[in-house]
Amino acid sequence: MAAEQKAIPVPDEQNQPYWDGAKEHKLVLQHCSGCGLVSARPRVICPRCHKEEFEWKQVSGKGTIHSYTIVHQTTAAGFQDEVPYVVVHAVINEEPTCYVTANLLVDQSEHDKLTISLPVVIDFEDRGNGVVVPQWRLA
Amino acid sequence: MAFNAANEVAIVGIGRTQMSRRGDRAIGALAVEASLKAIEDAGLTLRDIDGLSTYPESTGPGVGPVPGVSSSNLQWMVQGLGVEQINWWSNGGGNISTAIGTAAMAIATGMCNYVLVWRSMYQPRSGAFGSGTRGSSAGAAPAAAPRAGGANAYQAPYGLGDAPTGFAAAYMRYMKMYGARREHMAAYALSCRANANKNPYSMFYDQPMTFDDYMNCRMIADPLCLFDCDMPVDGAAAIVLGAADRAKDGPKAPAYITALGSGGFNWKNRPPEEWQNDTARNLSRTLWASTYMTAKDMDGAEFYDGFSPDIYWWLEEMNFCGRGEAFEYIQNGRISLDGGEFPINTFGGQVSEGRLHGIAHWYEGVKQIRHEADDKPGDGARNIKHNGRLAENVLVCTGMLGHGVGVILSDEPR
Ligand SMILES: [Zn+2]
Repeated sequence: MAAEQKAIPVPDEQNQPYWDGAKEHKLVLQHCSGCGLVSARPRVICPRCHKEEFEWKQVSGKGTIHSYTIVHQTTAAGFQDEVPYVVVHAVINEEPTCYVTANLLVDQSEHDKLTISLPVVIDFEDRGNGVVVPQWRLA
Repeated sequence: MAFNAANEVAIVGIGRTQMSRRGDRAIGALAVEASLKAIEDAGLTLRDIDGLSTYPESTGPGVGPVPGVSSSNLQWMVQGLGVEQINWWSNGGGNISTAIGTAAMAIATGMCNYVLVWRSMYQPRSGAFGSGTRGSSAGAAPAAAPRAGGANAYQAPYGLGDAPTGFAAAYMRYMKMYGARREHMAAYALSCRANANKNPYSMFYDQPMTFDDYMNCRMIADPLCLFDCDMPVDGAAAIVLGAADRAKDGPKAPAYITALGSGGFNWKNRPPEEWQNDTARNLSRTLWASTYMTAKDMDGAEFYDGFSPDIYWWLEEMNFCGRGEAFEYIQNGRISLDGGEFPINTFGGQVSEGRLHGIAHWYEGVKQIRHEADDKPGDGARNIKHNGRLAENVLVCTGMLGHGVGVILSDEPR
């Protein structure tokens, strides 16, 4: 029930490959054609080399927890019945400036064991009606 | 490179309104009330004001802003206040510290004589400030799933969007890196509440807090509990800045800006934690470069505290202690008004006064420099005292998320 009320990501011209990749259970990120910078959110120009050309490529889906929170109270649609839930900002192994934010799919009994720098691996959550979102799991 | 107009600008007037929760008055009216009080406090009239500066943003996506009702932007204030002539103005970007910093620069460069800066806050009748998404109201049929585009596509589907969620992760990282615990933060919460209990403007004036109250407070986003978050209110405050050489002619003692710094973030920073670190660090470097004074010369500080862990970043980056040491620095009464060596957020901070979004810190800084931080009129109950000596230099730093400005306010040019 709650899953059907969660916000639905609406792809746009800038990030369509990211969401198409998710449907195929692949973490597909934007890579700068000039210097190889990998970005979590689409850019129109590379901040490092100022190239305007990018390729979308699958990454390993491995990373480590940079920071996280365990949400106990929220106004977010579809999440009120799921507290406490975990939100993780994970830095991907390929690029130290690239943070991918998602929930950490982990049992509540493990919440006390969480900490920064733990390795995580990408997973994909099918929410029905063709909506698939990348999610993290403990490696 | 540093601000080269130290001692040339002063805050000469302050004003504010009472605060309320989901009040009945339009906040444009509150902004005008606070502004007229600040102008009168400076011994001026509206016709003397030839510069205006504000940070107009009010509510989050999906709520307003309606000028005059839920925001008091510059265009509205010209009408609401009845301004006849403006020589310089600024209307947004950054936060209220940006508006104050640029106002000081406008005075220092002779662009205008007096700048009025105001900030008004509006608490929506439903929902919350800054919420990216909102739940359906109680009893209503379940709403259809909202559609999240652009940047929100990466947040709302994960239950992100409420402000505490972002800051909680930053605070969690700090705790894990340095071994800080919630027990440590209780020292800040209790100190602020004790100060708020001497501040009749505070939303918590009549409500003391105990250690157990803090530790048992309900969790919002671990490790942030409710008492780590500032309280949304309706309210407004205003300050008037003018040239220091004519400030001494006013009815009140000027608060001289004897140092000024500002800072921002860089492209590699992850928001919000690294934006905050970088902003505070850059602000610190530029502020201390503009004066011969050091952290040891400060009698106290007013630090922006939208969320209580902000205090750790301020104390560390502004050179009061080393990185990862602030949670220990604030223990044992050090930041208390009651004999502490370095009182901070003497009005209660936003966590125990209410959220005026930074301008109350500047209001209080001036009160401390005037030695008029009172509970009952004239009692100076909140005045910073060091061995009986009242405050000569108070640090005021606000902003921090993306852009921040800090100053030293002093009772004499230094
Ligand atoms: Zn590049």
